[in-house]
Amino acid sequence: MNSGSRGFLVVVLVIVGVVGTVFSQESEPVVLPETSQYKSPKTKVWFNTYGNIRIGKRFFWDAQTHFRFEETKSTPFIGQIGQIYNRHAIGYIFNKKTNFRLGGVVRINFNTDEDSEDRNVVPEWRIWHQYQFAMPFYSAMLYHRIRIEHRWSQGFAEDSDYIFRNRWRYMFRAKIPLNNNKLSPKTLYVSPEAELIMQSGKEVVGSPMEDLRLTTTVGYILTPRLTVAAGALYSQGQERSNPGYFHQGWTLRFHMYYSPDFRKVKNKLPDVHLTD
Amino acid sequence: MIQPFKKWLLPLFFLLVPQLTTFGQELKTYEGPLQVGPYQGKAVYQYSIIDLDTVFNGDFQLRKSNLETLMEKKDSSFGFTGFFDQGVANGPWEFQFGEFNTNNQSQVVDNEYRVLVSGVQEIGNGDLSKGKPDGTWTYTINQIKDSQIEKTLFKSTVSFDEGVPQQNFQIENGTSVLVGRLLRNGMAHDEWSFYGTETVDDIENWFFDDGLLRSVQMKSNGVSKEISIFNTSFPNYQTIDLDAGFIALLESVLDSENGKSHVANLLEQHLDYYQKMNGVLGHLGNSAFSANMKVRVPHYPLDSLQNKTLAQIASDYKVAADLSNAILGNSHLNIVKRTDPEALFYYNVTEKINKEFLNPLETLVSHINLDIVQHQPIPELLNRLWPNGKPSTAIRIANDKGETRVFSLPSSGEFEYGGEDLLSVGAMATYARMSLEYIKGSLASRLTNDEQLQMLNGLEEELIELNNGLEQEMDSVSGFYSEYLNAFDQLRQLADSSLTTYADIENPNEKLEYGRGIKTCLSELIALARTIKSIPARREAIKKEYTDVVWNPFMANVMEEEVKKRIVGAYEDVLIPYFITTVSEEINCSNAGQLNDQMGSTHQIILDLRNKDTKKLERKLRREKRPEVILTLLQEQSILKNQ
Repeated sequence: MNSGSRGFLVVVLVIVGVVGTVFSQESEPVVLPETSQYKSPKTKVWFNTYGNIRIGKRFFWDAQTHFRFEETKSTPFIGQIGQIYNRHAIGYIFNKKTNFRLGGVVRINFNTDEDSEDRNVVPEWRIWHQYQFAMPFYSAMLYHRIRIEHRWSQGFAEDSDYIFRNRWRYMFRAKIPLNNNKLSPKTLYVSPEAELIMQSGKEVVGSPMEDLRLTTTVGYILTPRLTVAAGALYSQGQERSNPGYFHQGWTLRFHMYYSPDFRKVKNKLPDVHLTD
Repeated sequence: MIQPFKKWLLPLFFLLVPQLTTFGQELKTYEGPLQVGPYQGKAVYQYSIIDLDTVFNGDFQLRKSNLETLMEKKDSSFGFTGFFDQGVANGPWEFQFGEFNTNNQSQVVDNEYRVLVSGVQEIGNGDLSKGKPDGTWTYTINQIKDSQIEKTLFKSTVSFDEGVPQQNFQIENGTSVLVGRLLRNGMAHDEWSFYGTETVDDIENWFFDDGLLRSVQMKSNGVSKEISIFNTSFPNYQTIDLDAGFIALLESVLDSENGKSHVANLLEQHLDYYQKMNGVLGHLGNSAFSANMKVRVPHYPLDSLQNKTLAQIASDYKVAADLSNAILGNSHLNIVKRTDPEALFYYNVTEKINKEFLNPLETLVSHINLDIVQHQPIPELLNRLWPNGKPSTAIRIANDKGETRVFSLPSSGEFEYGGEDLLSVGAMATYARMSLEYIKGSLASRLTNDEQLQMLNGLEEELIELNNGLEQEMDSVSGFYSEYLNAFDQLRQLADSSLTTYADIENPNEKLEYGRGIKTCLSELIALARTIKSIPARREAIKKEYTDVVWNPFMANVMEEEVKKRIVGAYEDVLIPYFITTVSEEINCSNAGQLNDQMGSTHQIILDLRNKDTKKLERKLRREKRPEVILTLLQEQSILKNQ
């Protein structure tokens, strides 16, 4: 086990635990149901692009654009646009197994409540930082990802205020090559992943578990610079308005990972050795 | 005869001429290089000019020894010292011949470097009187070890009186002694005894009666026998030298069963050494030095017809012997006869002629040359040569299967040589000659020009070797794809058909020319086979060269990436299949070398393009699928970048 990732895990769990035990006072009384209530799952489709553009020996530009669709009453999965993400960061390759990144997110939230009279589109802002640890494991790779987001969001109602929350995310993911003994071009891999997203903040009362995402993805490495993947995600999490209620979702995810390197060949070659 | 070193000759001449007129016979001394027959060395001698001729007069010395060759390997030295009186050898003379080597260890003794030598030293010495041996002459051969006489290998001691050997003489080798007696006129007389000094077993006695060898008594291993030689009375006698001729005559009379005569053996050696000394003196203007022992032998004078016949026999024999040697020694025929029954037959006939006709004739011809035919009765001589009668004109040869085939000249009826006279032998020699000429004619097609044959033989060996080489290349192709195997098969077929065509060519000139062509071709095919076999390795090399390592941040690992795919693709998917197809479908001896070169150079070009700017080329290659065009493009690019 990577000791660094374990340390981070402990920190995250401690924080989450502390936050979880402190209940803020709500102005309006919330009536908790006698048992947890699971809403019927929503169906969604996400189209995600992940760009990692090398800009230096150790620095890269993380450029992600996600298009998230969700069902309407008439159309499952892709009935309407839900959110458009623009996530950017500057990443730093610490070594072959560790990288960090820090950046901002602009998320465009579309009002998906078909009955709503409120605004259709609101922006949401985030600062995020991420610590990822890779562990080669036989032919596979295991990843621990800790992502911390500082999030300013608002409702669709007119003149609604931004609320501030912190998100604490831990993801465990494996990439297991299927038709090869290593992850290399022309390799099909399967990637199970589990991510727990906890949240905290004044506005978060009794519903720290924002989302638990269980995903299995199958990907294909076309070249070192291009990988495509598709998978299914099951998610559940507490409603912020009432921690007794859990939303659920089934999401089809389609990913494209690209990592162009526009630097000249002669600059490029030695970089791969990094520190070792 | 006298050959002072040339550069000395001219000044010498000018120096001498004016002096001659004034001083006449004054002794001069020459010191310098001199060649006497085969002996070239350093000479010091005195001479006079008599009638414008340089005449040895006074001391003479000619020596040669070479320290350098002695130290390196082995030195042949000689030294002749003596005295001339007005050009005639006179007084004490000594002849030395040596073969020495050394152990390369030297020591300094009294300011001299001394090197001990080992080898064999021959010394002949005695007095000469007017060029003829006079007094006691000894010829000694010593084995020398570390400059000391280790053993006497030979020693002959003969007393002369003005060239005529007299009284007792003694010849010994390491193990035996021959003691003999000569009359005052040099004639062999009485008992000549040969006995072993270490074993008393081997005894041989020759009994002479005033030069006439009556009988020989031989005792070996306790068995004694006496053989009559000239023990009856003969109508005529002739006195001859006891020389090689007499020894040959004796051997002819002595039955071969009786073995080699020890006495004759020693005498032959003695004669040889005297001949050796005579050789030196002869080149110095004196040729009267000889062993000069005399014997008497029966004489059967030959008439002119007989002499003519003997001459004809000698000449026929020479031609026949040459033919026989040429046929039996012909390497091509020796190969052909294994498979060609006709050739084998003629070969065997030749062998038989050689054995039954020529071998006895050879003896007769040696007698002719030694001039001793006249000392033997012809019928007896012929009986000795062909104890079982003369061979028939019909020469029978049995083959492996026991079948007999007879060779005889078409004109064999004309050859009647059953008679016991020289004319019969002459006819027989002619028959042998003509038979061999006929055989040579019959074998002509199989006995083409020797030199050409040798070249063909050598070439054929090379061709077989090359073909084997090609086969070997083919032996290890099991792992290849079928297209490759097809190509290999084509190479093999081409080699086979070329060799078949070669074998079918009759004309040796054409054969040689064609053979040389396919020799090159086979080498090229081997090279091509190797190149095809190297394609997987070359692919691997290209793949390695055109692979870039890339860091994949998603996977957090290094990945290999193929670069310049269009170039690699053109090579892998278009050119290599094109090469293989060309080999399979169009390979021949005229394009094999070129194709091989093209494959090699293309590979090199592709390797070289890795680190060059190839954007333009890659654009051009985008849709190009014609191999010829791609090859041209690659060629252009490589030329472009070379500039």
